[in-house]
Amino acid sequence: MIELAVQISLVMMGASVLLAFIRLAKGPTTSDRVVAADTLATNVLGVIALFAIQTHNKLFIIAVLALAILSFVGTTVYAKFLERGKIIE
Amino acid sequence: MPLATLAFTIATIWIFLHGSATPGHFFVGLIMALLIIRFLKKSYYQDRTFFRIGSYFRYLRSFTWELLVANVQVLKIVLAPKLSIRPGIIPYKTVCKTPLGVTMLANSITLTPGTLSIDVSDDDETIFVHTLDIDHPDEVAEGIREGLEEPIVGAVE
Amino acid sequence: MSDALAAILLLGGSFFMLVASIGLIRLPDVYCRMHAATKATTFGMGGILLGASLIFQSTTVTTQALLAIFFLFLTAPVAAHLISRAAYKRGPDLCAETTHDEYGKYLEGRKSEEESSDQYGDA
Repeated sequence: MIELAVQISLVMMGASVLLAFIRLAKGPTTSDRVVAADTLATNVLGVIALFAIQTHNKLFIIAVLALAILSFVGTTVYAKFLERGKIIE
Repeated sequence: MPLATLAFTIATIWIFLHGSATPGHFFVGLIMALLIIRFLKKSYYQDRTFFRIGSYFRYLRSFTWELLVANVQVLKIVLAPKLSIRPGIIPYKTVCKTPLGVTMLANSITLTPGTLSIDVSDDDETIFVHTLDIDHPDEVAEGIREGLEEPIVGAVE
Repeated sequence: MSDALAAILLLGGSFFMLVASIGLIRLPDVYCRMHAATKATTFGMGGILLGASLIFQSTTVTTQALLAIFFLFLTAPVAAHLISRAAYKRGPDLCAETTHDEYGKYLEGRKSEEESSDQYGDA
């Protein structure tokens, strides 16, 4: 039952990644693209967690934790770039 | 919480992360906690309200309820056949004084129904809130006041 | 029983992630998209991670999942706040349905205040 749930969830996550990617490609403004990239990062976290369940490998959960921190840093840097136009001052 | 309690909390979390509760691991966790505190002490906001556990739980309960409502609302808006939103930015006067209170309030506003905090004014008194339903600005403000601000004031102010 | 609950959590979590992405496509401007993206992805990740910790039944995984959930709930609003403020300062781009814009008035007021204080400083 869990296997079936994980597979259905992975299909939904795939559709979600695809839609976020469409927004990333289309996005009229740079801000839209940053929001799409942020959503994409969180989607990837979900895919990793589902993958951990599918392969019965606990180690992937700590990858979720580490990637969550990294994606937050990335989004902060993007926001700073949007506001000032440069990353390192 | 005080720094010593914080160090012991971090060491306990380390034990849980490791999964084996031996004195050696607790000691390693304690050394790590001391290192973390040594380097991040300056940015740590130390409050003395350690005994308000009840208020914290009241805030958590209120926040969880608002979070559920928020997600059901997002679900309705996004999956409705025809989009019916009237967005707008309204100011919200807060009574929170401490930086921790204002931060908690702004973060909670973002995660609760139909609202997203955009900026805080220079004097930390007004939070600018983007809302999806501008028809009743007073109701939005009232919802924030009752659902979030009062528990936060009870917990950290 | 625990398996059924875990399956429901996983399905619900990924469903909310999907809702967030649909919202990202359907909603008209960057702030409205942020509403969907922030709330629904955080909630969805919470569901998926809780489901994972129910399935693995181990202290380590549960602690890691709870820490990750706590961290996501802490950082997602901060990220949304940073992006929306930066987006507004870059050029408001509010969608046509928007009726109120008090933040724009506040920014203008602050700008004119700064200009007048500059003149005072020059004199």
